Amino acid sequence: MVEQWINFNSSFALHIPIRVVPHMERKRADESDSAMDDLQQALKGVRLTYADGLYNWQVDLSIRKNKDRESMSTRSIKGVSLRGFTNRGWVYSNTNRTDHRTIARLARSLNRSRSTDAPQLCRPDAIKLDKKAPVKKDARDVTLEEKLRTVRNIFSLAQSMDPRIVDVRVDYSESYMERTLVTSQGTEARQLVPRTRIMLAVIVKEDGVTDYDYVLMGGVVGYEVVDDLTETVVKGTVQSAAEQLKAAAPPLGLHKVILDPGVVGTVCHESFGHGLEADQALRGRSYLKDMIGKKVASDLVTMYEDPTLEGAYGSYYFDDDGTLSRKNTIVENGVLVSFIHDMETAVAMKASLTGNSRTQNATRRRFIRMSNTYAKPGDWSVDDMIKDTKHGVMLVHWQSGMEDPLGGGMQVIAKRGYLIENGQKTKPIKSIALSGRVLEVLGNVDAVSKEGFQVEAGTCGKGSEDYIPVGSGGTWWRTTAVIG
Amino acid sequence: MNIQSALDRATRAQWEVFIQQSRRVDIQLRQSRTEASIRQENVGYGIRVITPRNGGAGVGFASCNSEGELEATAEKAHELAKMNRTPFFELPVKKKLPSVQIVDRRILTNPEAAARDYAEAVQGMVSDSKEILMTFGKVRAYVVETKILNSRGLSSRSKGTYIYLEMALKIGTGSNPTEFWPTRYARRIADLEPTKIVPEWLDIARSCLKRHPPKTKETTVILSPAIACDILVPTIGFHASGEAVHQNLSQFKEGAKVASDQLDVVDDGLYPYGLRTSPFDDEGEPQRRTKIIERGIFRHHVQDQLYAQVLGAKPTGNGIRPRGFGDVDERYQVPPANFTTNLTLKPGHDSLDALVEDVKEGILIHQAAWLNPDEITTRFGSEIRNAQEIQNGELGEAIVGGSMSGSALDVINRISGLSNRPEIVTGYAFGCVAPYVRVDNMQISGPS
Repeated sequence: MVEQWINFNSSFALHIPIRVVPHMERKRADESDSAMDDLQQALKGVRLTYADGLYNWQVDLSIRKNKDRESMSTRSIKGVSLRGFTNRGWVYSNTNRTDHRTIARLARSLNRSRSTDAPQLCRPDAIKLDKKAPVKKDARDVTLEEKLRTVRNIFSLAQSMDPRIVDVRVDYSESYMERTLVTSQGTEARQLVPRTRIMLAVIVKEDGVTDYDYVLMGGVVGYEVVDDLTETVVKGTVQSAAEQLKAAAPPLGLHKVILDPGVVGTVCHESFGHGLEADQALRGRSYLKDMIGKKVASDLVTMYEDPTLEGAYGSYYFDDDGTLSRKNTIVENGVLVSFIHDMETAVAMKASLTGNSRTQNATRRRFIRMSNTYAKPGDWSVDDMIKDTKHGVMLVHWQSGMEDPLGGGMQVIAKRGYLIENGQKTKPIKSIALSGRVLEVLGNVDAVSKEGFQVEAGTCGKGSEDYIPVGSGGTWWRTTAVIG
Repeated sequence: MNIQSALDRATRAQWEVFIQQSRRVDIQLRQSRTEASIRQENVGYGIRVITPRNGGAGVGFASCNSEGELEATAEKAHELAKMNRTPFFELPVKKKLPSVQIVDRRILTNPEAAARDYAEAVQGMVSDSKEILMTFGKVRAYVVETKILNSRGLSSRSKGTYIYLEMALKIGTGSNPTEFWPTRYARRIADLEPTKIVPEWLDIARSCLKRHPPKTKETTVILSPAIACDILVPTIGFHASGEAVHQNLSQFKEGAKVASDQLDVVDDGLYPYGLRTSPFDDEGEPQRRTKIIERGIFRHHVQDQLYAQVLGAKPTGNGIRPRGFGDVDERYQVPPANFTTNLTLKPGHDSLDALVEDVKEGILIHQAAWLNPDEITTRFGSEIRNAQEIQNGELGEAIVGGSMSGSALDVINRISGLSNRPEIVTGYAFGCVAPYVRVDNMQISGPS
């Protein structure tokens, strides 16, 4: 599943966790040096053919405001995950107690699963790395007062724009993920990845009808992200929220659809990409299992899986197996080129490592996951695409999606849309569910725009758990799909 | 370290600390083998500080998982509380707590053995079914100890257990397989007994072998308890909250008709072995039962400390720390919010078979992709993953694909029957006890 929207009521289980973070303590280097030493020492006592240790420190700050209240929270969560590979699969000992005694004890506990005939792994070359993602404006250098003032200013600006507004919500969040990986192969790697996001939601009410729209911006970026939430963007969000008050229900059934870059990205990531996770193929749970080299989409479709995309929300330097990030082509001119892999599946499927082993944090296991998944631009203009469509529906502003790795079914939810009538964008319509068979939808793509390329931030679960930051996007597509 | 004195040193404002300590055992399965096994020990602290100021207050929240960082974490929370503006409210004082049932002795005593035995039982039962393959599965057992302290003298603790089961059950071979992929939490193994739940889930998987997509139409549907949970918990939960009232967003007014006469809903914080059952809520207030909807009439909103005091109402034990993107033992990372505990739908008198028999044409929906309704508008739309058509009172071929859509407020007005067997369920939402629910005139979309 992937989700962009932050549910209003923080009680609901699936909201985006923008709690936390001001000042990642400056003693960071000392602490993580010590963690690396502790992990190295601990791994010396592990008698398995392969073992590794991952130290994760996540520090977050969240500032939220609506008309009721302001809330500010921080979180500083550390954890260690030690694992070994055995003939009974992966064995993990995890804890969020990070003292060296606990780490040593957990490492010894891996030996309970001692195994002499573990299957082969495709081990990445050992790396020595210490990287920090660059940002234009480090949020830690901005005072809490300044951040709160920014949130209040955006709130006041939006609230003043339309008398039908009943509430405005502004959520600012910054997070710093520091991850240290030590492997029995000799890898000693550390990366610090900051992620910053800001969201504005405008809720309007008229004649008993309540609706809203929102905008969310974020990435592996710093405080500069708040500069993107300009007065024009705020005004556009207020207008589109108000437009929803009069919006009609979407037409139902099979239609020609024009998808904005966010919806295209959700189709690429959620509906198509989860079937590319090679662990699903090993389980016999991927609709793409025997499709390498075969046609899976129209000739117009080329897709990438790319954790190196600068500034995108799903970017990183190395994955949680210690494989260096790289850009992978997954579909080229409609032909399936590659699955995405970790150490175990690359051996089993005689493939190369792709750098897609990821974990939410040290309390979870590592799985094969996407990073930034996006489609290559084409050569249409969006205007021509609309003019060329007699009757159809335009879907804009993706909200969520859900995978079906075995069946290749699709569910993508767009917050709003427009009817296309006689080559013109006409009436606004309300939230729309896109469904159908993803390979049919990809096969039906008959126009890809050259402009509007965008990779948007989202949070992805493998099923309903194990959430990680991802990016997804592309440019505009036209295809045929079931909506409702 | 004495947590209380550390916090008293750090701040003179009101404070609370919410502590969770847990053991978690996670076994992940691939077909007939183990894919990964994970042993885990966690502890964490969530600290909230309230600083009264000019008739209002500031509230700061900070969490960490090291006792050595408690004092610094309290200082951070205090620093944040000094800056922001929130209506003033006080933390609860100590009150008499109800007794509840939330422990499975077997899990409590040895979570590792409980998880291992459970996983073996599930694997054995699936492998006995020759035509169905469990491509992937997860079994987890938890022991979670929760403690809450505050500056008003409250000090409460409880210990509970959980078990979690997820299975991807594949049926069919070649180019046309499909699967049933359910997940469920329970407090005790008895509510997720393999001998009961696995055959039920295998039957649903089996029913999907021969299938077709739905036609576009409005029709009668019978929703599984998990789907009812996913539609109703986020939406009724939000509109029944004091928070929604204060924000002028609640669609529920006390005494107003909001649903079908057949619907009775209680927020039952004491439901035996309910997932959000606890002697106290996540602010320390005793949990209780609150009538939300009675024969279609809205009765009472549910309140946490903040909104009860803002609205001049009494708290109802509904200050809940959601799981967020964490798990049941990581709720210390999240501040409390105003929400339901166990949203409990009163069962009807008919069996599921009798509900089906009364339907001339309709669909029994076991599983949707992800309902994820919008809590404000209550609208939802989701692909149908596992369903069966109903013709003249009998179940027929499977329906897979297409979508169901509507709004939760319409759904509760169109309820025409509830089955007589409530279940403690989870879908993607958490905290619900529901039977099968029959709803008239649900919008279904398909390719034709």
